[in-house]
Amino acid sequence: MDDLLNEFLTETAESIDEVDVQLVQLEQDPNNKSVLDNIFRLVHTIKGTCGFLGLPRLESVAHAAENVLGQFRDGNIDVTAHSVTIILESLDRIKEILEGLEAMEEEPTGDDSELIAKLDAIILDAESGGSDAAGAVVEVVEEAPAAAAVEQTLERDLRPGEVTLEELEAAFNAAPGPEDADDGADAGLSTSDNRPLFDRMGGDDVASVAAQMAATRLEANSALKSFWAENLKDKLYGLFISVLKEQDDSIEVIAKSLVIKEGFVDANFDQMIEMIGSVFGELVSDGDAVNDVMMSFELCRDVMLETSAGFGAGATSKEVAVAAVGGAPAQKVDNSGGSKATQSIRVNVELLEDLMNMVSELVLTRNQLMQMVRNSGDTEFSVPLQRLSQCTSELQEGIMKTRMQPIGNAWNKLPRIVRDLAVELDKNIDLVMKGAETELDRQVLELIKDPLTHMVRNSADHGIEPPAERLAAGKVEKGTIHLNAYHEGGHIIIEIADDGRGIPVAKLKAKAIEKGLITEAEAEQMSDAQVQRLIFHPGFSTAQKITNVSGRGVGMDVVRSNIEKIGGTIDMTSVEGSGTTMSIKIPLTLAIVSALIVEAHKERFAIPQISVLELVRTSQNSEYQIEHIKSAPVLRLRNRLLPLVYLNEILDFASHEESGKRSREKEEFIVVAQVGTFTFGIVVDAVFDTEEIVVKPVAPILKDLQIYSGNTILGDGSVIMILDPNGIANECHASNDDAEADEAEAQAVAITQDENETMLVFRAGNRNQKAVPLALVSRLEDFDVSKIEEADGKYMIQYRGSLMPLVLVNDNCKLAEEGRQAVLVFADGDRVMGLAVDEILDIVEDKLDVEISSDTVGFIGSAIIEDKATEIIDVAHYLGKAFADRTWSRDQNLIAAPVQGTKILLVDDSSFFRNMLKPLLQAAGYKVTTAVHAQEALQYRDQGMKFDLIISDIEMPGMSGFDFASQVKAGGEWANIPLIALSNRSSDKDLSKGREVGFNDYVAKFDRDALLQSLSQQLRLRGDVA
Amino acid sequence: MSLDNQNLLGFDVTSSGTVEFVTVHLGDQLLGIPVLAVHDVLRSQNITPIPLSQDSIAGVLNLRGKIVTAIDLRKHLGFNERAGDDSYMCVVIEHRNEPYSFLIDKVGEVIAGKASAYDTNPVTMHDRLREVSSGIFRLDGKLLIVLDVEHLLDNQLSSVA
Repeated sequence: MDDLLNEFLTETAESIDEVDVQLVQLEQDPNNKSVLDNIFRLVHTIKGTCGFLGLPRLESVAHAAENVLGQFRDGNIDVTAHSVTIILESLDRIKEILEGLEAMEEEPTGDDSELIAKLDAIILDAESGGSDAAGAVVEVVEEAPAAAAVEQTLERDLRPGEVTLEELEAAFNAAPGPEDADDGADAGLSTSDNRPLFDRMGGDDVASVAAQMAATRLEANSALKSFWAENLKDKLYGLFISVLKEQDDSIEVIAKSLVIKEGFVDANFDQMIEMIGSVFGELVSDGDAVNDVMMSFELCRDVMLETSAGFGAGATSKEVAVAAVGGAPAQKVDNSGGSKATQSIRVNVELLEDLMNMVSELVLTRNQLMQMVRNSGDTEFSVPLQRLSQCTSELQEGIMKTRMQPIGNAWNKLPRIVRDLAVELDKNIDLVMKGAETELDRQVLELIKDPLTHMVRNSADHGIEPPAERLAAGKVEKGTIHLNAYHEGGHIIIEIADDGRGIPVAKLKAKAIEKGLITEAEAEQMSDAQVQRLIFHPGFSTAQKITNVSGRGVGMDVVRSNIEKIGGTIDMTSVEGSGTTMSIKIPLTLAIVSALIVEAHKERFAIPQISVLELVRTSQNSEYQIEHIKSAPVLRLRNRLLPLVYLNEILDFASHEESGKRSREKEEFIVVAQVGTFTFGIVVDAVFDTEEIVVKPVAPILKDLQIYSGNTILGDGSVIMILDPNGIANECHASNDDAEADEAEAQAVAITQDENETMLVFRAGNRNQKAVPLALVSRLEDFDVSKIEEADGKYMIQYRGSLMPLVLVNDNCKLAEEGRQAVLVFADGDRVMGLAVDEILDIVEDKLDVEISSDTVGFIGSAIIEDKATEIIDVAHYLGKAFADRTWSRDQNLIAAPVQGTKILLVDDSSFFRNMLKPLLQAAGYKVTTAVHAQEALQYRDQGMKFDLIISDIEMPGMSGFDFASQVKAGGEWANIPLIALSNRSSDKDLSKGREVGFNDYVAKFDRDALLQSLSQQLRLRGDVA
Repeated sequence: MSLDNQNLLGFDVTSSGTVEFVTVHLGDQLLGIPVLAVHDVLRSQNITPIPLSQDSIAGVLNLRGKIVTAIDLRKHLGFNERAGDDSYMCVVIEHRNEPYSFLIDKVGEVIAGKASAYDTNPVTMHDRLREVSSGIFRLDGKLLIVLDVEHLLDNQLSSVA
């Protein structure tokens, strides 16, 4: 029975999956006849098969579902979401029972009556004229509109009005099989005796007795007795039932299991049929019926003869028939055409795995041999080895192919999941799948199935908004989830994109703080992208409430670690309001990977090629050099600064200082690696070639060393460790997240600074290029050096009728000895100062990404402008320097000094302005707290922080300054705090809108004097009020 | 301590009521590993060190296409370190389906230990040794420490975990 059950389980599991997908299709396209027929046929087969296997629970559920499907097919019931849901439910029940069956080899106990009642109710509802009056089914029958009743009667004259379940069952049994479903309906019912064969033959009882008698006689027959399988009686019983019920599929399956030996020929079969015929003849009086039945037995002939012949060919044919239970089987055996030559076979997955392993070993040995022959020059082995090598490669490729499966296999379940979610959450979701035929290794496929499902679920649950919310946001009512898979250079890229609400930054941040994952101070520093990345943190779920669907504690962290486990990477971009895109990059196969062999401290290590972006050689004379920021090594690579780590240092071969010293003296090799979105360089001593390696896991006692992902044996027979770039990234930062955070920060700056900034680029002091926002510079001047005067250790020059102080960028700078001196003039109210520079280089319009902030006085940080690292100077610092002696004493009268410790909150998404204004305000004597967006500021309020004044930017992502102001003024602790708006937008309209929402004043961004004045004015006003 | 012959220390007992050990030398100390636990004995091998691993893990080596993790018993049991040019040998055993190799000074003969010559660990024995010893056999003129391979490797496992 085992084989039979196995096969049944596999086939049913396959069919059920198919039905899942098809039902969802049907729901969307209720009129698609071919889909409906297909579903009906699949369910019918399931039902038929479990009938003879003696699985009453399964049979009854499948039967009830089939009834409903039959009504769909006949057009008596419309396909509705409700009925599809119930049918899906019954499929789930079938799956459940199947699982139990697989585990215990018998049907688990349970009660399906409720489910069956629901299914029957669908039919009853329809019978009662498709009335909407729920709950009043019976009454409605009588009162149903005459027209409808007539219509129904006309359609099915044999079943008027109401039918009981028994009648339905009988009707079903009479119904023809799926093959002749369309044309056989009338024929089946119009024969002279329209009772089904089953009844004419006396039903179950006769079959049972006949089986008993036939078994005894067949086993007693000396010519036949050696052929029979065990439990012949039971098998015959099953066979008889199938024959009587005309279930052709089952007949074949059982017939196969009857004989267990070769040599069963036509004559034997005739003998068998004759004996069975005589048994039926004795039991049943209806001679026509017996003849019909005996005709049906002819179906078994070929099958039994073939099966028997199969034993002659060794046990193989039986093996072949064994399904690959559990794994995804290769291809379906074509059972329908018994005589047709089968084009594909089922192979046990284990066998494939073994083959794969053997081939892997073969490849290794081949590599070893190749190496030996290469070393010994041209020998007689060269040619045969070449052939061996080629065969091995082809064999490897072939074996790999057998393991390849379309990614669509992992996707089958998704339409159903999305559909269920949509119904449950009352959303409108479309799932678009592209590239389902893209193939990848089945092992990888298995491993990404769950993460994929999880992500799609997330998109549907958290991403896509309910229709009302979507409409309100100006989107189409129907949300779309796009799945896209494609090959890209030895990898598979899978994208999951939704057009939902994106990842809410403020909510995430609040939650992260609440969960203690980050501190408030950290949160303040974090950019949006960085915050969104928090979803990869363990124990995070963005759903506000725990739904049935998600929020069970299995989060994106599990997804990420699962993907990283198979050497893949995951990346995410999310724009609040317009959607999230996840992108997964995974290797095609796990067994053999290509790796780069590098050397550190005379030891060789392998780095998987998947994470290697490029190799860079640096030396003192080459274009590329390792530079140092303090002691941290960095590499200028095209448009970015690449953080570097020394492999020697990571592996504890050398100290940081030693490595640093070496890199200044010698040429180095840098392996540019990417982990997630974090790109960094690994400095190694030497780089060898790439090799195909078979990754073997490290021994359990080494499992904790996260910088290794495995080890392998190279062509020369030596063992080498495989480095895990993830682990290295972890090693070199406190944690990987920090590393990603840095990266994300850099990106975030780029995002928030999307508007181009016009910068004046100049040179002063050393070779490094420096820059200042052009908006701060009032004029560029060129003075005759001889006109510059020195007074009290400071340089001065007469300029437009007054003395202007000249400041040098730093102490290393000197004024030009002779000729002319370039000066940047900064005017700040009536204070004018000049900054002496060596040379004005250019004015560029570029995105300003302050990548590294600086501790050096006078500099805000470094950025790349026109492909060169550039220091951004802090103008406020020089202003302070120029007017140190007299600035604020005079200003006190003009602008009014702030009371010591006056606290200001500065809200601006641009780090540039935060950096620019904070020192300015501090210089003016205020205590400044900054917030990167309005949400953060509001959090401060909720935490009970107090300020004397708030300065806020207007254009900010997420919540704008206007919204922020109205929230602040709406009530709470801060309602009375003066608000100053800061913006480039200073049209009258903006001004009035600003006042409307509660801003007390409106200042243009670069007008610092106005800002300071406004500050003191507002504070004074407030003082007066208070 | 009395032992029944059928199951001395849980090791396989020969028909003569003795347990057979492969003896290995660590300096002057004699250690015994149950003979059936030993898969292979190798001369010094090309061992690839594993940076950042525990001190007593010497590295990994290639045994006929299998990767074997090598544990330096001298280091693990707190003996003096072997001088760089001293020869050593490897005893390969299997633990939880994973091959390991003990680096020892040299392998001696196979000795049959009688149940009557068995003693439990003396209390004065060095902690590190006592932890990996499942008892002592009194041999002529020498004492043989029975190495508890399972325990040793589980300890190794737990100490890193």
